[in-house]
Amino acid sequence: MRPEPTEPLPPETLRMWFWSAVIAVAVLVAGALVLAASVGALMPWLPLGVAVAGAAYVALVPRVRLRRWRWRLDDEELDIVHGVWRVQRTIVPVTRIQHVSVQRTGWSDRFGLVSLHAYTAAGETDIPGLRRPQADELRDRILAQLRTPDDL
Amino acid sequence: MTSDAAPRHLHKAAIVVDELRSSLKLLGSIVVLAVVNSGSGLMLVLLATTAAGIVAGTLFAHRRWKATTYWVDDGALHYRSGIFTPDTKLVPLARVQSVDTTNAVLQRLFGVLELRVQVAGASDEEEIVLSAVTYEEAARLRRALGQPEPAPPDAIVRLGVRGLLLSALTGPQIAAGMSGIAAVYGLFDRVINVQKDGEGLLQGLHTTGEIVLVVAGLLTGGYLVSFAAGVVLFAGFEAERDGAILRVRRGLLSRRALSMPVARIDGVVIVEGLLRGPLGLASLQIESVSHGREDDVVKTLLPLVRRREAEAVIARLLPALTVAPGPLQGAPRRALRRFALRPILAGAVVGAAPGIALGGPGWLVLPALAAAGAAYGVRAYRATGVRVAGDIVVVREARRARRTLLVRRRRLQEHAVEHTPLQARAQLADVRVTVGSGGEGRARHIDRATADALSGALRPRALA
Repeated sequence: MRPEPTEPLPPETLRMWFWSAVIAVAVLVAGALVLAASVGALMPWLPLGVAVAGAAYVALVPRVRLRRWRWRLDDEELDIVHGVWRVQRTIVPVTRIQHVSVQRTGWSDRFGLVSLHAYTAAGETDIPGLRRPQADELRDRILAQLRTPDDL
Repeated sequence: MTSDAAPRHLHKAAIVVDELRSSLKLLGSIVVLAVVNSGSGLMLVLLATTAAGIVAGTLFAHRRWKATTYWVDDGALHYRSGIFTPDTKLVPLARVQSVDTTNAVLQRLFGVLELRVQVAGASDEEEIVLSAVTYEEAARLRRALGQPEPAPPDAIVRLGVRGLLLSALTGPQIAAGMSGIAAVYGLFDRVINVQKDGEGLLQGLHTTGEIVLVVAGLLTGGYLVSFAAGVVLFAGFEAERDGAILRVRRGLLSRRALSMPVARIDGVVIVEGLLRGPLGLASLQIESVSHGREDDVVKTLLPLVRRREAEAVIARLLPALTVAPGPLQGAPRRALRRFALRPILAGAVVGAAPGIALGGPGWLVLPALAAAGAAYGVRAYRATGVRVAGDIVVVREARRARRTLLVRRRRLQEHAVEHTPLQARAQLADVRVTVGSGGEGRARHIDRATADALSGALRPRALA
């Protein structure tokens, strides 16, 4: 039996997701206010409804998402569990990985985080929030295991 | 004799082929504009502009031909092109997945063919396409690219006339046919609209009978276009394996030949379409990294095969994908309602619309569509299954078509086990396997233990 992944994402990821959600909900509430201002019948229920649903989303989703997120890298596989409603366990054999990149954005910099992207011939698998030294170490571990010939 | 390393130009026919290709793309809109503006002075301007465009295009194509060279050196194929900003593409020979050739009518006139070098994961723009090389040059290049010479085939499968007609009658080119007929209709409607001062074909219809007649005419036209497309694409189809190379040849007007090492093929999909399934027929498609972004026609291993013979044909053409007969592990009985619920609800929602709009007999549509949804769900439930047979993973699902993916375990790029809380409560899960082309096999609502066992069997350690 394959062991479950145990490595969590750092707590800064929760802050990043929380503030991303706050901004997205604020934009939606502003949009709902504009719409309700032009269609009188929607006032005040539409902005209020969006605000309540948004507050619930902000309070719950980032936390559940972080609690669910686990990853594991051994000498054979990158194993990831994630998902809020639909829980996905994705397993990528390390020998299938073509290249790895560590990416940062202005937004992720504010939280001291980077993301790691592992590319296979079929697409990419991401770990969205890692501290820089941890991401570099993970990237080097994957690259060290890619030294085997691939029969792609 | 020129060495492989010396840069070579394409055959001069490339100038005509390239120019005609770009001209043909514009021809449709020019014809419409010319017809719409017939009799006016604008038409003369249009024709003059078109003639000037063709002359300029030919001069441009000549410059492009002069600027384009290719050569094989240092274990790689080099392709240099571009008039203003020359650019060299380089493909290491070890990365060449397959070499395809196309021999269209125009190319046949000049005794040349188009050669396309397929590389893993490359899009159409990233591939190297030599639009006109002689047959001798194509053979020389194939050798230089490490592709073995054709040898007597170990296995060969041909599509006879009966198979071709049946394939075209039941083929999936219907969508292409419908869009073709819609384009033709759009053209005529636009012309008629203008000619009759804004009174188009549809505006001229008054009774339900007339509308039904026009819709039936369009559907029949679409089907006929689809049939013709099926015949043109797959005429003279043959797939053969000589040694480690699979060769597929097809096409009436444009003869296309694909040759690729069988070791590059990750899997095969057996597709039983809505028309073919009930007749016990299917088609076979290749899953390989090099052809992942191509359309289904290019990936065809065989356009028509009896379903019960599909595995045997695959075993003959691609022995590495031989799978011993055996049942799949399907979805458990408790999953049936999960397959049926959504299509029943969708059928009921859509079916309620006529009832709300018309009342009375309109409500009869609701139970009919809900029953159709139930049948769709039961079909999906029966089709779902997974199996690990030696080195092969088999995943089957049914949506519009029933698709059975046979893939070599070692060639899977990733796999996933997924579940919602509701599925978890019922000890069910979905399984998804992904191949190098990006294609997926998905089995929904199978037993959680079966899903975990499949996942366990895909561990590299388990494969050793």
